Amino acid sequence: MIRKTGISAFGMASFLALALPAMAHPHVFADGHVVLDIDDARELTAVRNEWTFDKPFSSFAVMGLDRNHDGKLEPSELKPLAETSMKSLADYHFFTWVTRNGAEVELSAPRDYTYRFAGGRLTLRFSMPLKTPAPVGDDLKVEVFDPEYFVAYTFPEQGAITLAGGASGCRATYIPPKPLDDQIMATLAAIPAEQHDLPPALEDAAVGLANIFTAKCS
Amino acid sequence: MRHLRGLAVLAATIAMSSVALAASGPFGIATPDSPVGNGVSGPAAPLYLAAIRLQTLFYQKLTSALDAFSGDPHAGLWLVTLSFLYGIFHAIGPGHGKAVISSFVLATGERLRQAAVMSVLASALQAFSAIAIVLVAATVFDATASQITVLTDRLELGSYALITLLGVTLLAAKARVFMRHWGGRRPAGSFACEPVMPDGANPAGVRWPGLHRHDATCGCLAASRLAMDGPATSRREKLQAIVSVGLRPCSGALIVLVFALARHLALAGMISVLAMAAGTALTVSFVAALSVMARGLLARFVLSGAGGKHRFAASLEFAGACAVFLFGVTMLTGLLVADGVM
Repeated sequence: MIRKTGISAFGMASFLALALPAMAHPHVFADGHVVLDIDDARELTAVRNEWTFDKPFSSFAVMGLDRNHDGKLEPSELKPLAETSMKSLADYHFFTWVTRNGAEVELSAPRDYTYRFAGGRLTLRFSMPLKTPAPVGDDLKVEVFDPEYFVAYTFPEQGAITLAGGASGCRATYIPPKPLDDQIMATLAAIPAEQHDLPPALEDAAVGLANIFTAKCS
Repeated sequence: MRHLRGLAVLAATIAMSSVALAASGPFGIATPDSPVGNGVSGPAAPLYLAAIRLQTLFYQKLTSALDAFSGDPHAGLWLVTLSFLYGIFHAIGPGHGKAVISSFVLATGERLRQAAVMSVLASALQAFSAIAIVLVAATVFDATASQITVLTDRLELGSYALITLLGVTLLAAKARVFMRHWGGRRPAGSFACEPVMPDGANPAGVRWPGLHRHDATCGCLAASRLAMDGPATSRREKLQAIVSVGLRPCSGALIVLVFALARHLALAGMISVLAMAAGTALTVSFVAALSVMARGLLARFVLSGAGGKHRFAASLEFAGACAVFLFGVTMLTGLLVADGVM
């Protein structure tokens, strides 16, 4: 009797557990690069993103865009896609958060957004100026990631970030995400999907997936 | 065939509706599989996480295999194997009708074989839906990814609408049975088990023990049906469940197909997507089978007295019908809210 109870309890439990929907599976893989614009006053003025997508997603994205059928994708042909992506990324906070002392630093709407297609891969570039430039220091953090993990970002250990602008004597540091352990992923996934633009500072667990960039000037 | 026409009309209405749907993916193309992102938590979390890792691994392996596809039989076999494994682990994630089919079999008491057949048909339909959409979009309309995404987002909406409708149908049927067993009073005229003769005639005064028609509203529930006997669901309901699950192709299949087309490997792409569907079918069948077994085990062992069996079955079926309905309503409102319609 006890054994039977166990079996049916297990059966029921596994049924209920498996029947629940889960978080998104990554279907987009992006190699990232960040450029931070730091001016003479050693203040961060803009964050520039460069994301190069995997071949399958890239070929899906450019489908039907070669309007003149010349086998090449001119900037003008990729322009509508860039507009669409920027409009959609707005709901996702552009996967980019800047915080200072844990408080969110506001970013302006993206500028200079372009797609380029080379070697079967699309690269999206865009720049987001800070509404108010923020002094560079340990407490200033830039984070790039998708909390829902539909887009899996990869940054190289070396060369993930470059600094631009007039500042001298500044150095950038890239802190890769922690390896995805079960606890981080479980907490992460518990974030409701409607909260696309959740600032990571509000959710400790989310930081586990984040690519963090900091800069220091001496 | 009337129901098929109804489904087609519904699908067409939704596809052409003026509801302005914002593409919900981050780049405006390819929508994530779960619009209402319920969290992974509890004891099942490690299983999901392992599945996410494995499906990611096999997705990358299968797309690289397609990228380097040579066309020799070994490459083909390798592609099929990777796609199949991807399908198995991918289906552990959101979508693919695990919740719908499991709740459906709970509500209707389908047998193991029927549950598996439904899972296989739903997965196959999903693969054919992806293949048809990509082939027609690419070759006939020279469509863009944005246009495909708008179409699949609408199909998703239609799918949730169908699930909600199915939930309403099941609830209407099961609530009556439920009330009969728990309400104490038998509503007049609701006992819809008419005796039928093998040839369809029913001469007055002749009773045919054991021969009566079962339909969705039939309250005449044999105790044996709890665990081992087949259900009395109409084909229409089963078809509705299958179509609601298989209507909307998943993003992974669309991306793989378009990628294959771009590399002039249409056949390899289609074979890959069909192998994915076989893997998906295996996972969905497994979950549906667990549902059938859970029902059977519970029925066999929870029950003692004969009177309890009817009540138990009625409650379980009502719960299953509620689950289908609530799932449909939740997903539908989640999608509409996400799109700013509601």
